[in-house]
Amino acid sequence: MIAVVAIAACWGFVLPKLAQLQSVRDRIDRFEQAGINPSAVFYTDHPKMAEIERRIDSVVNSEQSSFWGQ
Amino acid sequence: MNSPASTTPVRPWYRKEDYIAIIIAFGLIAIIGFWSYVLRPDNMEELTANHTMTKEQIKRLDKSSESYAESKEKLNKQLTEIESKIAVMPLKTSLVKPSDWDNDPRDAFVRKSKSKDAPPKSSGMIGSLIVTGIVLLIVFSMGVFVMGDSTFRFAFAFVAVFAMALIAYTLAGQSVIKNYNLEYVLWALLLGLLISNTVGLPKWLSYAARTELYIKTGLVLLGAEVLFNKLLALGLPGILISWVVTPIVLIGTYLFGQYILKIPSKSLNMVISADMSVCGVSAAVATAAACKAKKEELSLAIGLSLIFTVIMIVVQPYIVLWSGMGEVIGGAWIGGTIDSTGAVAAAGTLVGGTAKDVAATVKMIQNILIGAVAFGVSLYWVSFVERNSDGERPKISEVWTRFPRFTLGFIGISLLLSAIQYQGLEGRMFVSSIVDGATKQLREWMFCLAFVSIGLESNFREYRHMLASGKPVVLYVCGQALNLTLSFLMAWLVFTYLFPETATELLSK
Repeated sequence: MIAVVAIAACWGFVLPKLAQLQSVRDRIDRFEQAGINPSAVFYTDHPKMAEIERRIDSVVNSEQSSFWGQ
Repeated sequence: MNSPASTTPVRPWYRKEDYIAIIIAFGLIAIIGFWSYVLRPDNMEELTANHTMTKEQIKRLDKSSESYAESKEKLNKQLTEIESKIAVMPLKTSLVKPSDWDNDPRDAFVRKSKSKDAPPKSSGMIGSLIVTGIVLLIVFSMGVFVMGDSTFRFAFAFVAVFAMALIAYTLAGQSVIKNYNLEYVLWALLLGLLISNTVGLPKWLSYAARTELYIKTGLVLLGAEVLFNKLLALGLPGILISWVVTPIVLIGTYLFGQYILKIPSKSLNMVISADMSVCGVSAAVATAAACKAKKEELSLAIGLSLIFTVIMIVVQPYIVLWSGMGEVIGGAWIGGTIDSTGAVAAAGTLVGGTAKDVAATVKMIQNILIGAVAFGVSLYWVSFVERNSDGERPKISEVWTRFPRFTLGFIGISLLLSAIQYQGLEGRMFVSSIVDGATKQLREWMFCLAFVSIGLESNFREYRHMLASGKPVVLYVCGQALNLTLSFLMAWLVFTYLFPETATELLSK
C-alpha cells in the first residue's frame, strides 16, 4: 500500500513539478525539437534514425574514397 | 536463462521455448510480410522511378548555391513521402504502446499527432492497446498450448502481466523519466519485484510469468532489426570504432572479471561485460540468454547499465565540449561508450548536430554486433564453460546438442532480412514494412513482459547476495574506463591520422 502511494505521489505530483523546472524543461524541449527519444533501447526505436542514416549516407556516398581509404 | 521450467525433465523438441520462439517469430514475420506484399501499391514502378529521380536530383544539387540546404531538405522530404507510400504498414496504428506524457498520466492513453499543431486524439488509442494485448495473447497462448500447459490459466494470468507491462510503459513515458534514459525495462522489473517481495507471487499469476518464452521470442524478432548492411554506414572509420574496440573491451573486461576480480559467476561476468561494451539492455538480454545466465544476473547488469548511463548522459557531453575534441571525435566517443541508442543520441545532441549523427551511427553499427556476440557467446559457453558431469569438455556432438537454438533463429532472421534489404529500394521498404510496421513494437512488448516476469520470479535477497562483494560494480567501472580510453584513442586515431578527410566531410555536410 505504501509503495502504491509512493508511486502515485512521485508520478502524479513530484515528476510533473520537476518537468516544469526551467532547466529540465529546456532539456526536454531541446530533445523534442531534435526529434530525440532518449529512452530508445535499440537503433530502430529511435524515431529520427532514418534521417540520420540518410544524412550520413549522402556524405559517405559523395566521398567514397575518403571513407574507404582508396 | 535458468527458470523453474528449464529444470523439468526431458521435453520433446517442439515443446521447448527455443523452438517455439523461432516458430512464433518466423510465423509473425511471414504473416506480416505476406500482408504487406499483398497490399503493396499498384504504381510501384512509378514510385521507384520517382525515388531514383529524386535521389539523382539531390546528387546534382549545387553545393555552393545559397539554396542548397533548403532544396536538399525539400527533396529529402519527397524521398520520405515516396518511401512511406512504398512501405505498407497495415498494423502500424494497431500495435502501440502508451504515449509520452508530462503532467497527467491519462495523456499516456491519448494518441499523439505527428504534427505539433494538430491536437492529440484520444479515440482509438485504448482500442489499439487492446488489439496489441490480444495479438500477444493469441501468439503466446498458442506457444503455451504447444508446450502442453493450460492455455486458459495462462490467458487469465496474461491479462494481469500485460496490465503490469502497461503500467511500466506509462511510468517510463513521463517526460523527466524518459529524458534521463530510465527505460521501461527498469519499471517492469521493479513492478514485478514489488509484488513478489511484498505479497508474494500468487499461484494463478505464475502461469503467465514466462520469462524464457517472452525473451527468446523477442530476441528472435530482434534479429529482423540486425541488418548487416548497416555495418558499412560510416565506412571504415565506423567499422574500426565499433567492431574493433568493442570486442577488445568485451573480452578484456570478461578476462579482468575472471582472473583479477575472480567473480564467482561466469555468466554474471559475461552479461555485465557485454552490456557495458556493446549496447546496454539489448546486448545484456541477448548475452544472458546465450550464456544461460540467471534472471537476477540479467537484471543486475541492466540496473548497473541504466545507473551509469544516467551519469554518462549528463557528464560526457560536457567533457567533449570542455576538452575541445570536436564534434566528430566527440560524437564517435559518445557513440562507442554510452550503452543505449537513445542516451547516445541525447548526449550527442547536447554537443551538436554532427556529434549526434556520428554518435547515433556508431551506436547503430555497434547494435549490429549483437548477432555476432550472441552467436560467439553461445558457442563459447557450450564448448568451454559448460562441462560434462565428469569435468571434461563436451565433444562436438554435445556442443551441438547444447547449443541454444534460438540463437540460430535470431541469426537466420537477421541474414534473411539483410539479404532482402540488399535487393534495392523495394527490398529495403519491404523490410521496413515488417520491422517498423509491426515486429519492432511486438519485440518491445515481449521484452517488457519478460522483465515483469523476471521481477515476479526474483527475490531481493539474490541481488543483495550478488552485490555484497561490490565486484559487479567494480567490473562495470573498470570495463567502462577501458571502453572510454580505447574508444577515445580509436576515434582520435581514425579521424585525426587514418581518415582525416572524413571528419572534414562530416562537419561540412
